[in-house]
Amino acid sequence: MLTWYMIIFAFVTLLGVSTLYYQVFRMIQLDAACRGFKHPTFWAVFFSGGNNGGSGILLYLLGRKKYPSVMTEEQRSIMVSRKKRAGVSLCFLAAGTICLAVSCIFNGF
Amino acid sequence: MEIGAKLKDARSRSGLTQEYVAEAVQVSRQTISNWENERSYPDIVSVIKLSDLYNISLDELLKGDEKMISHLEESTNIVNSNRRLITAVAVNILFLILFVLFNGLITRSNYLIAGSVAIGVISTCTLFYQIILKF
Repeated sequence: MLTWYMIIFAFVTLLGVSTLYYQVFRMIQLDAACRGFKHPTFWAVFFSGGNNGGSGILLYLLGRKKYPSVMTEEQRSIMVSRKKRAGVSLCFLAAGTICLAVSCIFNGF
Repeated sequence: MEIGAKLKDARSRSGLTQEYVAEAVQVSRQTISNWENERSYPDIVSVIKLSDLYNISLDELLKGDEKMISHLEESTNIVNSNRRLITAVAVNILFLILFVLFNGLITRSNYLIAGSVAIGVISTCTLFYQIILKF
């Protein structure tokens, strides 16, 4: 049975997923721009998706090796801040998923 | 003395403004301010540029600041970051094998299922975070 706290856990999970996707999108966009790719936004949309999120990033990380990155100190600090935010999003995602799964297991669906 | 205070002190002694230093190091004035207030740390290339600009040795700038040393180690030690990623992958594979092997046992108890879910989610998120750190 769907309870009010399950809705909250689902909301926390969705919040984590959406913010994580956004941070990954912006990180790829920034990295692609620093490597001189012609359409960084396109690459960001293309690689931040993937069937489970991680495969696109892995492909991008492997593919970008041939292109040297010229990152200014400003861009580097933005990247560091985005990594931290992605970490926070992952915490939300993990907490929301675990709580939702546990409540489903003990209360039934 | 911490690196922020050292940078501020060296800049004052050289009689330079934050704007001038920012232009010379090719960063924004805000970044210089962040370095001096230790909200962020300069990378090794910027530290070399600053030591030239302020006529101060790298030894004087870097030695004695544990936070700065650990920041440089973290940002330059690729072997260490690769090791963490490989460990995260190995741990995920190990858990996957364990879940498959003890599938029958885990499904007997709700507590074991919940624990397995928690372990699986945490290890996957850790792996994903290690991948993100590769940027």
